[in-house]
Amino acid sequence: MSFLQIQQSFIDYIKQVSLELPNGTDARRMKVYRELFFNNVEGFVSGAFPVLKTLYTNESWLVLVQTFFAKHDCQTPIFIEIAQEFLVFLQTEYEFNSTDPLFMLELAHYEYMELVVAVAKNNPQHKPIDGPIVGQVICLSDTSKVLQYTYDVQHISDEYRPVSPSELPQFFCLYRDDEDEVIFLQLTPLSAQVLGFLSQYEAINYGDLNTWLVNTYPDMDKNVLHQGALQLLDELANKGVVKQFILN
Amino acid sequence: MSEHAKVGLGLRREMLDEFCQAAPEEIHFFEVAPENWMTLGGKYGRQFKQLTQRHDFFCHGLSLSIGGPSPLDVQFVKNIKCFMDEHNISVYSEHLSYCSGSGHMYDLMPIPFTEEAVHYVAKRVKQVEDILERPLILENVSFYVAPGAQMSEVEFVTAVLNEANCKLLLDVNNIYVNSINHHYDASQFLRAMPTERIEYLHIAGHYEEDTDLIVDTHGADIVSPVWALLAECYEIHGVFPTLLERDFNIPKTHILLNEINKIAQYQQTHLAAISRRA
Repeated sequence: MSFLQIQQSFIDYIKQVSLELPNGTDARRMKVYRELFFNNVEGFVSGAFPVLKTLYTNESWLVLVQTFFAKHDCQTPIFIEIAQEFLVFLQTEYEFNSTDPLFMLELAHYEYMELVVAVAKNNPQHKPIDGPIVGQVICLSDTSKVLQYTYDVQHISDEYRPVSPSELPQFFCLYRDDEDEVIFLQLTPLSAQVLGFLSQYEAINYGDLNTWLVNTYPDMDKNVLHQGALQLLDELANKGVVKQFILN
Repeated sequence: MSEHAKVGLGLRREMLDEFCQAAPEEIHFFEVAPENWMTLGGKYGRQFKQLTQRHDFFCHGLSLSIGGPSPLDVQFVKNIKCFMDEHNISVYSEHLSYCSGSGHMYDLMPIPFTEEAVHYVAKRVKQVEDILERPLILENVSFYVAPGAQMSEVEFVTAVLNEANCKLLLDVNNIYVNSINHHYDASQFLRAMPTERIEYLHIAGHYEEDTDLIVDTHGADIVSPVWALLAECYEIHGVFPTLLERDFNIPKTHILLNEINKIAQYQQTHLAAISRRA
């Protein structure tokens, strides 16, 4: 057996204890490996999804993370991105069972977004806006996320577990303020649409955004739309959600 | 003071607030895993930048998987280079180990001690050094089993260092841990390490699971046999920069400084002994 094959059997055993012991090892010492490796990954997953974790008994949570640990091949070398691997696992590989909450994917996504916003790097091409927005090239800051969920995921806890989606879709924005705190901002459907539009582009002229808005709502008064959009963008620029885009 | 008589500490996030205010002058350099910092913006990223502007830093990687069965992650190594350039860091060490196969496992596994593995690792060391434009320093790791071994650990480590022509980060605690777990003589192992390849040292505490099985956790104080091994290491190989690793159960800084200061004392004692002899 080549050393590369020995390595694969070693990895397989750490992932799935039911397999045969790798040659030249013993169960007691392989248990040390299994525990070190699993506890490490479990720590990162539990740290990133604290609310989801409270919805499970300790035992069933460990079963869920063990399934992830055994079945999913994590591609990132970066430790905090284990959270993303867990989300991808839930979205693409996990077989749900009746004890999993219906909102599981939405809640996991929301918790992951909180982490992403907390640690996102500032984009050097994104600058705070001072002065009028008209005429500027603007963008959604890399430290902001525009989100839409069918459940009110922001309220979910051990004590509040919705059994059906909320009446209206939930629109909100998570952003990092200038003291690096993650802030939750509820959005109206219209403001969510404007930010959603902005998020599709690296950057856009204010004028082009205004044109799109007018075309999207042909029945509304242009001036009202224009004033409404300006006021909204001003507020979001003050919070650092919308930024000026500097060309290199 | 000899340029080698330096003491370092592995930096953890928990220490950021305090050390951004003021870092104890007894700590001459810090070490970080690039994997834990290279993607971070926000508060942690800002604080980290503040510290790298004021202090010397070493990089001690975790995810390179120099002996792993899958191809090297070239983009990842390029990202490490960018990170080191950005923070003006020149020292990069990694574990003589592997941590991934078809996926990442986020901890260290023992490379089978074989000739084939020696050649394989040496080739990959060159590949990493070409991308990084810096030397890759390899560390002797702790291991609990040795599947597929066709030579001893000491033979494997020295063969890799020679063939890859690279430097060694000698972890004194790992020698002790392995000597208990695999029933060998720690002093003999220490003596067999090539002095001219040693770049710096690690020291840490561990967890005793059983009398014949100890686990390298970096979660406890350094035990006296490991202190003795450090003194012996200075005696055999001379004084080298030495870094304290403490990853769990991290005590308050003034307590941690007891071990930092003790390392410095060991270094000074040894240097004084040399000058008396001279």
